[in-house]
Amino acid sequence: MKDDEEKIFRVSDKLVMGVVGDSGDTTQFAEYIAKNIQLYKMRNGYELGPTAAANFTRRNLAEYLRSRTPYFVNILMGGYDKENGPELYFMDYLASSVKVPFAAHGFGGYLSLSIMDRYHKKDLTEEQAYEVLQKCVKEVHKRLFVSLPNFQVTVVNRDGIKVLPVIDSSSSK
Amino acid sequence: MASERYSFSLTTFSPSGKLVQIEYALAAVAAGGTSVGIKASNGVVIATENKHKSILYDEHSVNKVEMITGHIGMVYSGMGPDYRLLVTQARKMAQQYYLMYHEPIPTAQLVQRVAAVMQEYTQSGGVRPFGVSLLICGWDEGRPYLFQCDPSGAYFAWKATAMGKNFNNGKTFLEKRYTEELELDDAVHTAILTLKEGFEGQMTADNIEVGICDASGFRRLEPAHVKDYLANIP
Repeated sequence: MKDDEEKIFRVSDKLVMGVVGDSGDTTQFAEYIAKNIQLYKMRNGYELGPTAAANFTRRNLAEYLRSRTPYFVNILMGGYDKENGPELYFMDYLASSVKVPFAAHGFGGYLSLSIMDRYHKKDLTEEQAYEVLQKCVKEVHKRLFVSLPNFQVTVVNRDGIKVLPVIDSSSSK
Repeated sequence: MASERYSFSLTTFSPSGKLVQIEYALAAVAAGGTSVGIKASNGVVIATENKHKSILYDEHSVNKVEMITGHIGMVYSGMGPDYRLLVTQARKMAQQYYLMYHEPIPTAQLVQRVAAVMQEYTQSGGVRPFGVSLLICGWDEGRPYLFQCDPSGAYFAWKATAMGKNFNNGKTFLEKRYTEELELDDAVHTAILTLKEGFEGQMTADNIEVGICDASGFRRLEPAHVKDYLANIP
């Protein structure tokens, strides 16, 4: 079975979106949003900021929710805004959207959220944040009833999007 | 609506390559009340003459200077009823943008959308072009914007401009008076002076309208406020 599925999509130069849920829905919805964000850029000559992009995504989720073809996806959207700095949005399949300092989806989230609550601070550096993520994954590997071996890590900052090393079962050894 | 019955456009090319209906629409604009717009370093001013044909008119009940959103305002030269339609549509488009993106519509985008509507009416069945030119002023991303929309659907960004009656004289006057360092107060003064150039009769706070747009948004000036500016005019 696949253990290296790419679930984090590049939406624009300084915006990424992690999507989980029904297979098919995830890719379809992610690509739909990403291409529409690019279309805005083509039409208007500049890219949508993270807040506007998150609202656009949520609006689409909300409209499809009460149609015959809702998207059963949960999303974490992260972006960097020139004026407001880094922003993280938590969205779920019921079209809720909220800006948060840290978030998690899925069963692993029940464990990770407590870890992040304990170790997260407003002024974490990138290295410190990566370590918090490693602590979360370590807990997931130790206590979760399903095996989730690998975790992809992506950073968005003022310089753009960067991929950090995958956190796998070796990080907790 | 006539456009449901006519499947062909009434705006067609002449042998010389002109769209005569648009030329005529521009003539309707040039016959309308003068309006001016000036971009200052810290804001934009738009102003127009609003002369009434009789003293029985209830002044200030109907305005030419209208707010589209908190940060965008509009004025016109030409046919009032056509303007009303564009104001309503512009307001709706601005709100639709906000609904989708949860941020105020950038001025340039609103202008693009309004201009697209105006263009549609030059190429759709059974309709005529709008008999108005619009001046749209806005403030976003920390800077002022001033745009003009024509009946053809063309739009232009201006530092300062005039439309309607005597627009040529107005533009010449502005070319001499405009500087990049103009502040909003001076710009209002200059705008009123420009209006005065072609004004027939006595100019009062009740027969002109002034709107300003700056970092704190768009607002139409109260007649009392306009009166203060007029007091400084010779």
